[in-house]
Amino acid sequence: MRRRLLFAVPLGLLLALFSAPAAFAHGEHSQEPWLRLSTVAFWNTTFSAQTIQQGQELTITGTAKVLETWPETLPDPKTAFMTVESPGPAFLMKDRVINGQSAPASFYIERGGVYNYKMTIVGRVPGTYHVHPTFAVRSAGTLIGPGQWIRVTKSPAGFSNPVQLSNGKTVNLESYGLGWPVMGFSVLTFVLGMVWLLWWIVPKPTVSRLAVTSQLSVNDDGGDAVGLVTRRDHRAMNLIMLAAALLLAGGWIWQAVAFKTKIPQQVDRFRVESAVQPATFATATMNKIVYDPKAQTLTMDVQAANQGKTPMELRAIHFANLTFLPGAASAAAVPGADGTFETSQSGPITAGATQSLSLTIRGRTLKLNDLVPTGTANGNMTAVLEFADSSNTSNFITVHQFLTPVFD
Amino acid sequence: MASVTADLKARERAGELRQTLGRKYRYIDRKWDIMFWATAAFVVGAAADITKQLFAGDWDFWTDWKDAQWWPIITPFAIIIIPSALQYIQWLAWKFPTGAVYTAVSLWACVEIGRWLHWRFFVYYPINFVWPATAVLAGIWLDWVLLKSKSWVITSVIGSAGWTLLFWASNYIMLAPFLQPVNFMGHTLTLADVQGIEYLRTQTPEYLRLIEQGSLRTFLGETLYVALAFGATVTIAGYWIGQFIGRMLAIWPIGKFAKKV
Repeated sequence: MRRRLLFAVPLGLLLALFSAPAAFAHGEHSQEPWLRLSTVAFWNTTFSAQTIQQGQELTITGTAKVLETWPETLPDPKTAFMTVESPGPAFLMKDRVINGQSAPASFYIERGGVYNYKMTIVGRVPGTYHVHPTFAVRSAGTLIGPGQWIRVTKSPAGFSNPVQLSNGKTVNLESYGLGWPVMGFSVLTFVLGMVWLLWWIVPKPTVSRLAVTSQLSVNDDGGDAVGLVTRRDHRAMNLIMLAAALLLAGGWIWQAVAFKTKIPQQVDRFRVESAVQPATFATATMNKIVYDPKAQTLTMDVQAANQGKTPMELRAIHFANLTFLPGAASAAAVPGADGTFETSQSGPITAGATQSLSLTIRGRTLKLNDLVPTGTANGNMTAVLEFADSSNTSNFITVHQFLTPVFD
Repeated sequence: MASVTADLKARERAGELRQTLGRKYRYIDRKWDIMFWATAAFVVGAAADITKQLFAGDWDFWTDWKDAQWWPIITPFAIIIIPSALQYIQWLAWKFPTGAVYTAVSLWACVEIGRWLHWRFFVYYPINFVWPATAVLAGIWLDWVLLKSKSWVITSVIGSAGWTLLFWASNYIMLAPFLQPVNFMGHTLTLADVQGIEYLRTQTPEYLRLIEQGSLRTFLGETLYVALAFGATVTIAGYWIGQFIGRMLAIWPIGKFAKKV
């Protein structure tokens, strides 16, 4: 029996180890489809490089929109924060510009707001990471944008993080202050505490003292006569207390002299106005959206109106952090897109015309990304349709409809 | 005459107790003591760390959370609970004024190991960003007050108030370099703010950072002193929570089941 166990347990562990697939997601699939679809949509996300060295910069640009369809079940979107999804500080955030304004901290937003972002990060820890821009909204959670694999290679010079202070001095933030005072002062306090402890613990027995203390009241230590706490003990503790006071005083004088200018931590939160949008020439409504799980097909019936002066065409469909570009499903993968859509409309929509469009997305992309709300209580699907006119000006129109699934 | 007799009896009694104190036991030797102090350190350190994490987690964790308003109020309150319980236990059981220092030292060891191992080596956060606060000097004060006063009430009031002030003062020395101003992203921020911005914390959006917020600052126009005074008051309550834990959850159950000889 024991031999069988000795064989079975390691075998079981080995099988578990090699049969488990790697987990690459960042938790976005745990968010409900309606949450990801109706809150924030991402488009035009670009990464300036795929491989950088430690210390080299990478810029992520794109647009995030707080959709008009923000769910009423969530508090109104008021405060947001943009950052980058990465496993800890594998990168450092060096710059963050939202609609042309530097935004070091959170910023105040509005429903329907469009935020063009540019984040500059620097490679820090060698490795390969899947990096996403993220848009966090207070009381809603973090919505994750499109991701890309980024490789950070080791730099022969190693890594440092120079930061210039207002007084002109440059410090390496990787290790500034670590030796002294962070670890140095902390260790000194630990040593003093150990001296205090060891004074009592080493020369005096512990457990057997109970035989004496159990015969005394709580407020009575017996004094010198009993010997539990003697005058010598008091003197020693007074000295340690004095040493603690001197250590504190010394530390305070040092920091007051070494760092004459100090300010409290800052809370620099402010309103970022929505990016100015071009004049509206396109409007659209989604009349029906059907999902056929057997055929793995999503079909959208959209009525689009061109109120502009030039023809317009549907350039892209954005769902949450996915983008679909025109093309046949069987065609090769379109760069910069998560998939393709087919349209019943051939050619642009002429100026002044209203057209019914049947848009079809084939394949498992939406389902694999948990963006098709079948089997959930909220079947609302929201998409952003990108129409472009002949001058290449784009309108991003939010449409939504409740999903009609096809059952067997 | 009566007082001379009483004095004589007291001296006799003290002599007996002194003899009992110096008595050697067959089955209880210093190995018991070493085993207790060494093993209890992990339990005590863990209990203190869990309590601190539950109430004051982020404020103890990041330099950009160690502000002048919430940090001096919440953290001393959170950290005094277990030292207070240990003070009661160690003073009652052994007349050792070591409960607070023992807890502070055990906590220090546990958190330093945790920060270096987990946060520095596993996930690469620099320690000068995630350094833990030290409560040792505050613990020395608390134990010293107990030793001198032998009174729980005095220790709770004067000791706790001093605990808050010493906690803040001793950790401010380590925080000071990170309060220097920096021009970053076009804003004047502290070096601590820059650490918080640069070293990514993906699932901690900046709006969760609870610092310098609330109307406390409008009183006298000075945040820190009000925060320290309020923190001292709240820490007194924390001290008695610890006393409750020590008395009702540690000593009283032992008394129920252990036989007194």
